[in-house]
Order: sequence, then structure tokens, then C-alpha cells
Amino acid sequence: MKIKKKLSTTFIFRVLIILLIGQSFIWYWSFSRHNITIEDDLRERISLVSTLIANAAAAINTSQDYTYIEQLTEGAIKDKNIVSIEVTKGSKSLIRKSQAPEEMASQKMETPIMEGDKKTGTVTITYKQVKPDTVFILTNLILQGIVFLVLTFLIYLFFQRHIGRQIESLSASIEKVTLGDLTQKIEIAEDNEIGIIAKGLDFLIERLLITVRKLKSITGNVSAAISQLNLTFKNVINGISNRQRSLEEISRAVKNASGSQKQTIANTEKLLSLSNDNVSALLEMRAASEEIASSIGNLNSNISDSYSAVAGLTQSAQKVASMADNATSAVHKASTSIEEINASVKEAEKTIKESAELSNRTTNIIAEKGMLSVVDAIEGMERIEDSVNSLTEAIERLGRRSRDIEKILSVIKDVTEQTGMLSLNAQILAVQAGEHGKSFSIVADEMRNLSEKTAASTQDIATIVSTLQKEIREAMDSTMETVRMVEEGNHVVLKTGDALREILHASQKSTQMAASIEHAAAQQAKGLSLIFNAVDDIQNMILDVNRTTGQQERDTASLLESISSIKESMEAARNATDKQAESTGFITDNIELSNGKTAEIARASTEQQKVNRQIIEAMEEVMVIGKETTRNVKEVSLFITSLHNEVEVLRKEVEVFRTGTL
Amino acid sequence: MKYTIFDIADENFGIEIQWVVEILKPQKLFKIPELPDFVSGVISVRGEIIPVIDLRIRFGITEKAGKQRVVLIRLEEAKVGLLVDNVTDIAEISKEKISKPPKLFKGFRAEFIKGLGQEHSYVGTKTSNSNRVIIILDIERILTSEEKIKLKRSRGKLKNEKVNPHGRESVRRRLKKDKK
Repeated sequence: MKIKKKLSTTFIFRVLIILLIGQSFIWYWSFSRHNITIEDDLRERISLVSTLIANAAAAINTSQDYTYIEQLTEGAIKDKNIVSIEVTKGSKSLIRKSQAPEEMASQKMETPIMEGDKKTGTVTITYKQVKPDTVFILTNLILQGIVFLVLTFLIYLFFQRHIGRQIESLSASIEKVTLGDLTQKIEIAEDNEIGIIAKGLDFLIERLLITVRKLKSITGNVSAAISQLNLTFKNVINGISNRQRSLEEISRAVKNASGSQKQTIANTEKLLSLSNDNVSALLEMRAASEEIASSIGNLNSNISDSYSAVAGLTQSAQKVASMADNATSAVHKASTSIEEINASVKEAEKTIKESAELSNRTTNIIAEKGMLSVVDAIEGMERIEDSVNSLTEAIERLGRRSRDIEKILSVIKDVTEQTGMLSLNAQILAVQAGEHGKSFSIVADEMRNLSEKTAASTQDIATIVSTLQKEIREAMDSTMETVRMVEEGNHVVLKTGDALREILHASQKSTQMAASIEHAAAQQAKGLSLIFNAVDDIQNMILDVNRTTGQQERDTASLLESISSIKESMEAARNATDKQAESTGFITDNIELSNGKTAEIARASTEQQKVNRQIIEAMEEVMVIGKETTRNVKEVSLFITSLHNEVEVLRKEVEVFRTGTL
Repeated sequence: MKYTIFDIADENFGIEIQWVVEILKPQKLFKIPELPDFVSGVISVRGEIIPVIDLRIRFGITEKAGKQRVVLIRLEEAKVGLLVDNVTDIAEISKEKISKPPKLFKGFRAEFIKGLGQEHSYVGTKTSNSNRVIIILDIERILTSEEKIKLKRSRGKLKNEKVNPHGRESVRRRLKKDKK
């Protein structure tokens, strides 16, 4: 804090200046007045002196006494101020006295010497102004300065004590407030103007504090809100620019799509014309390939025939070859086994002779005894069968009869029942008729007895018949069993006969065979040596055959191979042509179908082209709108940013105020 | 008093002979929709249509019988056939031999039963029981009065009613006699 700026200092300073000015004015005035009085006094004195001298000079004329005058002038000249005195009477200077060389700065005073009313001479006194006393002035000044300083100090003390301090605290508080400390409380309780000011200031600070607090919070909120808004807007701008970009991309893509679609349409149309050409070409091709297919089919069947012929040939060649191989090996085997046979044949000859004898004997035994007994057995069995059969028939007849008896019995039973009922009814009637029915009741009783008897005997007959039937059934069963057993026995006997006959036949045959074997064995031995020689020749021949057949087989195999490859390729060709024909047809159909589809696509593409154009137009409009929106949003954003900045400034300013804790 | 004895499920039943008209072999039973439910059907006896009540059903016996007989009785004014298993004989049972039945008797409804008759030294056709008990049925109670009315109505519908006023009177007289 600068002293200069202090109100009290300034005030005191100004008061002092005013005092100084006043004092100096007073001082100057007093000084000038002092000078004037001095001058006046001097002039008065001088004139008094001059008058005195003049009076004395006048008195000389009469008395001629110059002493007095002399004395007078002498006394006068001692005055410091008087430089010279000159008394002239008539033209004659009476006295002339001077103190010192005359100074230029002296003044002259002339006083006439009056004798009566006649002027006789003049007294001239030159005098000079005596200079004021510097010491006196200085002293005066110093004194005055001291007084002034004391006064100043006193004023300062007084002011400082009573007003200055208050003002100072006031100003300090204000300064603090100015610096932003609103927590300040001015503590001046005095009831003067300053106190009022302090109170008012307090009130103002309080209000300011509240306001600033509000402002602070508001600005804080606003700032936050605005920064939020700013952020949001930045996002919005980003979003919008993104949208704009994507819209541009979409637009570009749609344009591209449109372009490519145009291309597609052109291509489709081209394709359409091309495929139409294709269809006609394919139709031709189809006809041609069908023709080819048919001719290839013919060719193929021919080749197949020849193939099968060759295959047959090959097969037979192979067979021949394998058979030749087999033959070779067989001949080999044969030649070895023939040797073995030769050896065993000789052994066999011996055994054959023995067995021939044995079989001869066996045949005789079988023929004489076995066959005779079998024939007897068969005859006996046949007789048994006949008798059993007749027995069965008789039993069956008996069974039929017993069933007839049963029928008769049931009829009898019915009759008995009827009779019983009749007797009951008769009894009822007899009872109901009373006395008249008594004789009738006897009849009824008789009837009842009869029926009861009949019923009893019927029951007996029935039991007898059923027993009989049971027995017949048992007899029949056993007869059937016998028949079965007889048949079985018969069968066994017949079988035995057959077996014996076969044995006989076989033994007869074996006897014959033994004889012929005996004969053949001898011949065989002879033949075997011949065979042995022949086998050797055969073996050689077969080897030759084998060689040739091998060659043939190889040739036919290669032929078959080439034919089969031809056949395969022909079949493949046929299949291919068939397939081609088929697929050509298929392709033609498909192409026709696809032609239709292509035409549809072309139509649809043209339609879509229109739609695309509309889309592009719409997109462009949207883009223009978007750009405008972006601009607007940017403007708003800028505005918000500036608002934000302003609010920030405001907030900073508000933050200068120390508001303490809220 | 003489009784007509018949079997149902091996039990001997007897009814007073004066009610009985005739014993018949089973005939074709005609089922007629309009008949009351306790009537099994009708039979034709010499051109006369007669309703038949199956006593087995009446007594709540369900098993089948081997043989069947129809006991034709005269009930009030008309003839009614009772379907039973077999009619065995006509027997004389003196009054001293008839005792009152217990309240519940072998599952049959006691209201049908008039009494139990005992017969010694009996020689039947089939059974040789020397001692048999005969359940004597109260023929008038076999049908309730309601059923009798129903039967009468259905008879009216069938138009085969043959009124016999004497028969009715005589029945009443006999009933009075019995009560004495």
C-alpha cells in the first residue's frame, strides 16, 4: 500500500498544503506589511527630522545661532538610514553633511524652510532603505516550519487514531473483497458515517457473496452443461458427418450399382441374343448328335458282336490252353500211376480169385434158404391183414348199431318225460275234479308208475348202451392198432425180401464180375505195357500242343484287348453321344428357359434402373439436406463453443471470489 | 292238502294244487316290447297268449338250468306261466307238517314263502331222499299288487283276456278257508 494513495495521508497532505499556503500568504502579507510600515516609519522619521531641521534653519535667520542646527544635524546624521543632509538657504548652502558616499539607491526628501509664508530655503535629506534582517526572517521561517510540522503531526495523530484506522480497515476489507475474498466481515461498530458505510458495505458484500455463490454454482452447472452439450454436439457432428459420409458412400454404391446394372442389362440383352443363337445352334447340334448316336449305336452293336465272338474265341483258346496244361499234368500223373497200377494189378489177380470163390458160395446160400423163408413170411402177413380188415369192418358196423340204439333211447326218454308230465297233469286234474276224479286219479297214478318204470328201465338201457359203446370204441382202437402193427410187419417183411433179392442179385453179379475181373486183369497187365509206351508219345505231343495253344492264347488275348478297348471307346462314344444328345436337349430346354428368365431379368433390371435413379435422386436430396444440417449443427456447435468459452470466463471470474464453503 | 312240487336250483318248492292248471314243456318264448320288465315273455298255449315269469330271475338265481318246465297257474282272473327247472311230483303234505318260515331263508325273499313243509319217507324219481323240505310258495305274493296291475294292463293290451268270474270267486273263498 502506497502512502500516497492513503486517504488519510492525502487528506492530511492536502490540509497541510492548504495550511502552508495560508501561512505563507499570511507570512508574505505580514512581511510586506512590515516593509511598508518600515518605509512609512522611515519617511515619517525623515520628514520629522527634516521638519525639525527646517524649523531650526528658519530660526537661524533671526538669531544667527548655528549651534542648535548643528547639533540637530549631527544627531540626525547618526541615523543609519540618513545618508546626507543638506540645508540650503537662499542659494547658499548652510550645512551639508553626509554620512558616507551617496548611494544611488537613496531617496531624496526635500522640505521647504518656511519663514512666515516665504520660502527661504530647503532641507534635503537623502536616505536609503535599510535591508530587512535575514536572520530574523530565517528564524521566523524556521519557527514557522516547526510549528507547521508539529501541527502536521498532531493532525496526523488525531486523524489516524480516529478516522484513518477505520478507513484503513474498511479499505483493507474492500481491497480483500476486490481481490475476491468475500468472506471478509468489516468490524466497525462505531455509529458514525464510517460505521454506516461499513454496515452498508457488509450488507453489500453479503449480497454479493450470495449472488456470487449462486452465480458460481450456476456457472458451474452451465459450464458443465455446456461442455456436455459441446461434447454431444461434437458427437452429433461426428454422427452427421459419418452419416453424410455413409450417405455419400451409399450414393456412390448405388451409382456404381446402377452403372453395373446398366452393364448387366446390356450384357443380359447380349446374352439373350447370343443364347437365342445358341438355342438354334444347339437344336441343330441335337439333331446331329442324335443321328450320330443312332449310327454309333449300330456300329457299337456290330463291335459288340465281334467282341463277343473274339471273347468266345479267347475263352475257348484259354480253355484249350488250360486243358492242354491239365492234359500234360494228367499224362504225367498217368504215366506214374500206370506203373503203380501195374504193380497192384498183379497183387489184385490173387485176391480176385479168392473172392470169386467166396461169392459163389454166398449166392448159393441166399438163393436157397433166405428167399424161401421171406416168401413164406409175406404170405402169412397178407393173411393176417385180411382177417384184421374184416374184423375192423365188423366192429365198425357194431358201432353204427349202438348209435341207432342211442337214437331209440332218446325217443324213449322223450316219451317217458311226456308220460310223466301227462301223469302229473292227470293227477292235477284228478285232484281238482274232487270226488269225481278219484277213479281218474288211480289211472293217473298208474300212468305215473308206468312212466317212472319206463324212465328207470330207459336209464338202465342207456347205461348199458353207453358201456357197450365204450367197449366197442376200445375194441376198435385196439383193432386199429393191430392193423397198424400188421401193416408195419408186412412192410418189414417186404423190405427184408427186397434186401435179400438185392443181396442175391449183387452176389450173383459179383461172382460174374470176379470172373470177368480175373480175365481182365490178365489182359490189363498186357495192355498196361502198351499204355505205358503210348503215354510217352502222348506226353511229347501234348507238349507241342501246349506251346502252340499258349501262342494262340496270347494272340487272342491281345486281339480281345484291342477289341475291348475299341468297344470301350465305342461304348464311351455312344454313351457320350447319347449323353450329348440328351444333354443337348436338356441344355436347349434349359437355355430356352434361361432365355425366358434372362428376358425377365432384363425387364426387371430396367425397372430397377428406374428405381435406382429415383433412389439416387432421393439420396442426393438427402445429402443436400444432410450438408445443410451439418452446417447448421456446426454453427450451433460454434455458438455453443463460444458460449462455453464465455461461461468459462465467467466461471473463472466468479472463481476469483473466495466464497468459503457453501 | 296236495301240492305240486317243483325244483329250482336243487331246492324243492311247492304250490297248492288248486292254483295249477297244467304243466307244459318249455316252448318258444316271445319277447314283446310292451311287457313289464318282470315278465320274461309270452307263450302260446292252444291259441292262448300267456305271460311267463321266470322264477329263477324272480329268486335272483342266475345259473342256467338243464331242463325247464312251465307251470301254468291261474292267478286272479288269468293264466300265468311260471318257468321252473323241473316238476317232480304231486305230494300230499298235512298241515301239521308245515311250519312258519324264518325271516330270511336261504337268500330267497321271505315274503314269497308261506311255510316250510317236511316230508318223510319220500321216494322220488331221481332223488331217494327219505327226508325233504319243501318251500311252500305264497302264489298270491309272487307278484306285488303294482305288478298285478301292470300285468292286467298288458293283458288288456294283448286282448287275450278270458274272464272267469267263478274262478275268481272260488279263489277268494279258498283263501278264506286257508286263513281259518
